[in-house]
Amino acid sequence: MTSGVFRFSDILKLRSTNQDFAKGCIVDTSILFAVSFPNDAHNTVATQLFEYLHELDIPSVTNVNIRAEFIQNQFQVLVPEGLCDLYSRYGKLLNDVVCKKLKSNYATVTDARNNGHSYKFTNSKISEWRDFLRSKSISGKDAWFEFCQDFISHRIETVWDETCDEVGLNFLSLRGSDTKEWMKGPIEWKDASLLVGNYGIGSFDAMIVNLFLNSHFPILITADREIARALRHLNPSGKFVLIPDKMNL
Amino acid sequence: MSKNLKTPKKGAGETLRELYEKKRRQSKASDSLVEGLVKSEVNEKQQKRSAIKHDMEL
Repeated sequence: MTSGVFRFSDILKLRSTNQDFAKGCIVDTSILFAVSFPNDAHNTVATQLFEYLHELDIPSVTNVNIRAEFIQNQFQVLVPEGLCDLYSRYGKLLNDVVCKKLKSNYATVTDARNNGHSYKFTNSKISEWRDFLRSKSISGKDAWFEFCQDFISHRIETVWDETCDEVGLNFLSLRGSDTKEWMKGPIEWKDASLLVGNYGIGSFDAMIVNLFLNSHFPILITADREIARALRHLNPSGKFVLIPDKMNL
Repeated sequence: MSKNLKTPKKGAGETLRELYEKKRRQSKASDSLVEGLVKSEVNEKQQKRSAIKHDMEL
């Protein structure tokens, strides 16, 4: 087995025949988000994965693109979660219009949780709530800012550092003196653009794939189907992609 | 290469779950936010009444 797409549980078998695995793996946003957010559909498998990495002594690495996408994903789930907390703790105190809208959000988030999914707000949904809360602002206070400071800020400000600390993430700087140790060559924007063009993937995903292809790390771990599909098609030599056992490609 | 790199801690996922719950319990609305969301309806009604009164006066 010299390259290809494999399952998380294959890592035990693969490690015994690939000494290269000791170099480490790139863990993409979907997996880092999953291990940090208990309501994510992949939380259990991501938790198990990091136990494998611990036992096999395989380091995991990340970079600035993954961090930016991770924070964005956290924000998109913490807004609906925060609105749920606002409803469950203060719903009875609030006026009918606010209460009704919060109750509807609560039902949607609860439904997603019961079905084993995380519920992320789209940008337009965030704008809708931003405008709605601002329309309720009084005494010169911005109710959207206040909501964010009360329900989002303390959760989002530390989640990246806590995740890095727990899963022993190593930050891969592309400007540091040790870059040559990790990278085969410079990261080119045009290569990432080409990946977007050829495979129809988002720019965050393209930058992760580009980093993987240009690095010395033999493994990329992802729960993102499009990243896995693009890499399966590219089939780079000596590179392994690991996806959750039950994920369909 | 891996000599200088950290590896995951045992039980990392469990610890992150606990941290998530701990942070969630710490969420607390400020008095001004609750007051705003309670009183905004009263304000809206007052504004509507004022607008109607203003129109009638005209």
